[in-house]
Amino acid sequence: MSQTTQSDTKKTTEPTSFAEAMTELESLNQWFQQDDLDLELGLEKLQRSRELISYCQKRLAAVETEFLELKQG
Amino acid sequence: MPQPSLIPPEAVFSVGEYLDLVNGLLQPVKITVQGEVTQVQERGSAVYFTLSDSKEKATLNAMIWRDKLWKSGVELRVGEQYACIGAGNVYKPIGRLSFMADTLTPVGEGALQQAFEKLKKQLEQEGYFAPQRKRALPAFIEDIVVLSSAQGDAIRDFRTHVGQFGQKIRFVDVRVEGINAVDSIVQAMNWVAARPERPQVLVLTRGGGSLESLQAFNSREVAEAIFRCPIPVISAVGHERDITIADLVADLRASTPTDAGKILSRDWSQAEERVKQVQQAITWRLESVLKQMQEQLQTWPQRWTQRFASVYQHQLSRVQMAQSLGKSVHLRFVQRVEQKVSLAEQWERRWLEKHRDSNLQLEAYGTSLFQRFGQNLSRLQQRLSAKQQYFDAVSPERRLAQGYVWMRDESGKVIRSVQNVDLGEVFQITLQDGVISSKVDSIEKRK
Repeated sequence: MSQTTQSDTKKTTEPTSFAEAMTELESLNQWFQQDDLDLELGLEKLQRSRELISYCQKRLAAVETEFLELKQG
Repeated sequence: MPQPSLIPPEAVFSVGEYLDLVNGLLQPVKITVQGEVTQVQERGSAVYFTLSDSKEKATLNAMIWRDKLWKSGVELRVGEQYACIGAGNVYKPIGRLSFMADTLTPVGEGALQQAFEKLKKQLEQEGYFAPQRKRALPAFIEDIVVLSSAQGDAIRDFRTHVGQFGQKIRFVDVRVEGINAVDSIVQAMNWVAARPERPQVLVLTRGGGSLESLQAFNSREVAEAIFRCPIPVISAVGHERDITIADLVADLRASTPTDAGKILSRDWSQAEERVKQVQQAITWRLESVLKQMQEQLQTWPQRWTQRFASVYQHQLSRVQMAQSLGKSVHLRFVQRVEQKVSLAEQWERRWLEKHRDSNLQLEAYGTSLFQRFGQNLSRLQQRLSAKQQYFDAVSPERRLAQGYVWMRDESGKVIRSVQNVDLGEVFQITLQDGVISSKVDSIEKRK
C-alpha cells in the first residue's frame, strides 16, 4: 500500500534535478524486478517511468557546460 | 599620515611622529626575508629570534606570535634556514627595527619535508583526516565551484575533462603559489561558503611543482578552511605522486586536475547508457509478466473445456443409466452448461472493461488473448450444440412421440425380452401421454 501512495504523490511531480530523477527511476526499476508484480500498479509505475526517462533524455541532450568566472566583491 | 613625497623639507617631526611615519611605510609591505636563525628566545606569547646572513654579515631582529608559529607547523631551530613572510616595524621605546613574521617556512626540501610531517601528525591527532568526517559526493553533480589560478594549466585540464554535460561551473581565480597564496585561497573559500548560491562541490586545484611551490596546500590555514567548508571539497593538487595536507583533509583527493574533471564527469558519461538499461529492464520485466499471464490465460479455456466435458460425460452416463428420468435431467444439464458459458462471457466482459483505459501493450495482448478465448468458447458452444442435437435424437421422449413404448414389470424393471415375463404377469406400458396396466395373455418367441 505504501508503494501505491508513494506512486500517487510523485505522479505529477517534475523532478528537481537529474540526480533526483535517476534515483526515482532506479527505485522504480528495483520495484519492477520484484517477484510478485502487481500488474495494475505496474501500469501506473510504467507511466511514471516513461515521464522520468523522457526528462532524463531531455536533460542529457542539453550538452553545453556553462563556465563563468566569479569576482569576489 | 602624510605621504613622504608631500612632506615639505622644512617640516619638523618629533621622534615618535617620525617612527610612526616609518612604521606606516613599512607595515603594509609584505616581504619574504630568508636567513639563518642564530638565536631563539620565547617570552610570553611572543617568540623572538635573530635572522642572520653570514655572507653579508647582516642580522635582523625578528618576532612571531606563538600562535602564528604554531599554525605554521614549524619548529624554530638555531642553525636552520627559514623564509619569513611579514613586515618591518620599529619598536618606539628603544628605536629598534624588528621584523614581524606572519608565517615561517623552513628552506630546503629536507626541512620542508620535516615541517610537512610535523603538521600532518598534528592534524591527524586533531581528527582532520578522519574518514568518518569525509562527505560523500552527490551523484550527477551539476553545480561546481573551482578555485585555481587563471594563468595555470590546471583549470584548462580540468575544463577539458569535466566534459560537456550541461553542468554549471563557477571559477574563482586565486593565487596558488607565493606569499599571498594562503590568504588568497582561505579568503576565496570563505567567500564561496558565505554566498547564497551554494554549489554542490568545491574543487581546489593547481598543477604539479616542488614541495616549496605547493607550500600553501601544506599550510594549516588552508587545511582549516577545507575542514570548515560547508560543502564537500575535492583537492586536486600537483601530480599523481604529490600528496599535500589539503589532499588529506579534503573529502576527496583527485590525483591531478585532469582526474578531478574525470571524477565529476563519470556519472554523466554513463548516464545515457544507464537510462537505456533501466528502460530495457522495465520493458523486459513487464513483457515477461504479460507473457506469463498470457500463458496462464491460455490454459483457462482448455480447463473450462475439460471441465465441461467431464460434467457432460457424467451427466450422459447418468442419463443413460436412468433413461426413465428423461427430459428433466437433460434440460437441467443443458441449463447448467449454458450458465457456465454465460459466466465465462461475463468474466471476459468485465476483464476487458477493467483494462479498457490501460494504454499499454497489455490491452493488445489482453484483447488478442480474449479473442482466442472467445474462439475457444464458441468452439465449445458448437460442440455443446452438436451434443444437444444428438441428445434430442436419442431422447426417450422423442421415441415415445414416434409411437414406441416402454414396458416395465411390477418391480419397475424394463422388459427387454419375452424371457423376462411369464403368462398372466401384470406389467406397465409407458406411452407418450400416460401409462397402461396390462396382463400377459400369450408369449410367442421370434424365430
